[in-house]
Amino acid sequence: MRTLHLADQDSRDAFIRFVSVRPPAAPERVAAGRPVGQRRFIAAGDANTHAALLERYGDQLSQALLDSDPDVDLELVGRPIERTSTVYLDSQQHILRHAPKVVEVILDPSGQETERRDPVDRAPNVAEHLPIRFTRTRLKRAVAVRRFVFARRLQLWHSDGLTYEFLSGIAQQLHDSDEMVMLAGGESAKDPLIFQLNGLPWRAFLEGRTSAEGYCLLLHLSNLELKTLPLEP
Amino acid sequence: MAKPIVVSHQGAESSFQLQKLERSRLYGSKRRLPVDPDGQPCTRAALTDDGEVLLLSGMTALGWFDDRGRQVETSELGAQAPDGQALAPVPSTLGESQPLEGPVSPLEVLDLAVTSIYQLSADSVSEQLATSLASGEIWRFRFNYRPDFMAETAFLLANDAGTFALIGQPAPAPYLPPNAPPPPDGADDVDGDDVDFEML
Repeated sequence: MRTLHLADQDSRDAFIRFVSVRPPAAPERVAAGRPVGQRRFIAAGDANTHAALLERYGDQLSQALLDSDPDVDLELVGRPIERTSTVYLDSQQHILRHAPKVVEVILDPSGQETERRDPVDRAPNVAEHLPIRFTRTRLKRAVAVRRFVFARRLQLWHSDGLTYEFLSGIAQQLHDSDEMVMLAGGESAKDPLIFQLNGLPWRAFLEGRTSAEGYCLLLHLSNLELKTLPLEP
Repeated sequence: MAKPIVVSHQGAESSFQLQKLERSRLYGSKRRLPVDPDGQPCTRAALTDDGEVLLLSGMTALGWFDDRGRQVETSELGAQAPDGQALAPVPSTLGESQPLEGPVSPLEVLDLAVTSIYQLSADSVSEQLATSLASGEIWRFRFNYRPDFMAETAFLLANDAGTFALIGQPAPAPYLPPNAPPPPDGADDVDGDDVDFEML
């Protein structure tokens, strides 16, 4: 069970369990009343890829395809792929016998490379000694949904009577004010939330609802604003 | 070019061209690239467990298979609901007028499990709808990009930057009473590992 360390506006803090809120499962695919699933299989040998055939036949490839089916390797094609290991090939197409060096490539919105650098690991910050905290940024729900795309939702879940009081109190307060409050991490409570090593930084907004059934306290995560794309040159 | 989104509001039709809104096209992106000792990019490949076949890009394909191992053509595929009821094909809604429902509460939008976002540019928009969107109202309609077995829910909204459609499936979370059972196992991971640009 994953947890986060949350402090409210009065600096009361607790470690809180959370779960992802997921959409209903997609409909099951069937054929002739029987369940079906997708499987990966071998479609061509390394001597039968389009690139290999083009190199071998050049301009005559179309005719070769008609005459002798060189794209089909009957020994391999159709073989199901179960488990595989990832390998890397160098620029000469030889298998690397050691782990490759990894560089981080920065691309601008048009896809052009702007920088290349050594990667730096980004540590998670949601379940550390320092809690994630309320910021001063509060938005009406009607404003927030027209400003951000909330791509993930986490539901905060109490584990005992004390955490129930803590979470339902926050939910009630946010419900009454019809607001979402931004949470942030780090010493200065300005950092986006990172849930796993090298995970995406998320801007997170806490939203609460209450009813006769109980409370619902949701952490809405966003990494995208509702903005128009830059014009293509 | 895809067909437009067409919606009807108070008897008047409006039509919008759509363009997918993606994070990498708004902020840029960051990739980790393996390089060989000469600094040249490596090619990623897969080696079968028996070590016999090196699988390069373009050497594999995905296919549908039934529980007896028979490969199934895409044209034979159907779908069924969890109760076993066969589902009817749902045609694409693009180019077909869809009635707008609402205006809806922001809570409905917050309950949407978003799968895609489109930036819209109006071919024609009715005056009533333009006024409604400018005032902050949000409207719901059925959306299906390509024919399949389940239409998605779309919300039409606007802000100072433009007009957008959020697409996804409604997925409201439960209300928790004091004696709520523990959350279901396996529902606690935060998916997604992608590009990392500051946006605020």
